[in-house]
Amino acid sequence: MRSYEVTYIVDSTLDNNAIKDTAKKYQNTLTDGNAEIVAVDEIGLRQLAYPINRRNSGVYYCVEFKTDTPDLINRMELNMRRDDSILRFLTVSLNKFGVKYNADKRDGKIGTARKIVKEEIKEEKNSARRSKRRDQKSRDKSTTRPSNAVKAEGKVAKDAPKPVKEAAPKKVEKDDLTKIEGIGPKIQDILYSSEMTTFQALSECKPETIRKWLSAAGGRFATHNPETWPKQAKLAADGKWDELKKWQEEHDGGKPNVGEEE
Amino acid sequence: MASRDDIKFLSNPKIGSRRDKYCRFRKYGIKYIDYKDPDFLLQFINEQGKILPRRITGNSLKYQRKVATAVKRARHLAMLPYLADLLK
Repeated sequence: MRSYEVTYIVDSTLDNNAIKDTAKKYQNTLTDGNAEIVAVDEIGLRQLAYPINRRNSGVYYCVEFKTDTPDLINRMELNMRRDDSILRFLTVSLNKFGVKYNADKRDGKIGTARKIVKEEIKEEKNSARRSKRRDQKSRDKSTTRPSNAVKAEGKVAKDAPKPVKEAAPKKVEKDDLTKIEGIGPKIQDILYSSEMTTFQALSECKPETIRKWLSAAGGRFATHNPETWPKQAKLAADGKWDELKKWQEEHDGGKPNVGEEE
Repeated sequence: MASRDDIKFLSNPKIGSRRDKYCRFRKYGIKYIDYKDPDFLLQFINEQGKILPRRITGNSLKYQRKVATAVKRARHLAMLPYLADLLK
């Protein structure tokens, strides 16, 4: 059996039920034709990069399936071509790497976490190379400093993948993280997706780790300073709301007030 | 503080020396390039949405071909534009 993958865009101006029905219809054509559906990925509503049929957005679906009869694909594509509510479609055959990639993606092995780890490796290598060069240039002094730098990098690299591993899938409670000064609804979503759902969890993690997630979520979040968030979260977790409020009044915007503390 | 060792060159010696290029797919063992991941593919196109040449990205021929197919598929599915201004 060969593996295939069909991605199609359903017109987003239809009402929700109609969209779901259309998406389901083509999955049914596949199952009726004795194809084995491996996975259905509902990518969801996306902005189109250019208008198609005067539409600017569409609902994306991706279906991975296996079949022995490639004729089935021709029939399905013919129906899609005739269907006005399908804006675009693309069927590709998957090789073993594609199948593995999709399986890994479903297991959550591929995604933001992997990207962070990859960057860490890169940084580590760079710093190692840098330290090597420095060694060659000035042998007497550089022995202590670069090795420290490498050690620190290694530590950070260990920190980064940690939340993914220890993230116990407890969706029991979600605290309102926006109570903490500096966290808005958008950043709250990022933290939720990093399994930081409670004040308790947030108070136990390091500012550097939070910063990693922020920069992974996009450049505009990288400017936020999570330095004090664990501290604030600790107060919130212990239920010391008065103290937290007082602290927030003293420290504008949740930033460590340098002038005052020194 | 700057010690005697740090001041060795009048001009920055790093200027002019090129960084080594490498194929990231070979290096990190990436075997499959997903056409449904436009954020990743954005690294291989320029501001106008054109596919960058190998001499800039450093990809090996095998993976450059795969990148090109993936970008073209993403364009067909309107995940990347065929032509654009100020994409990045």
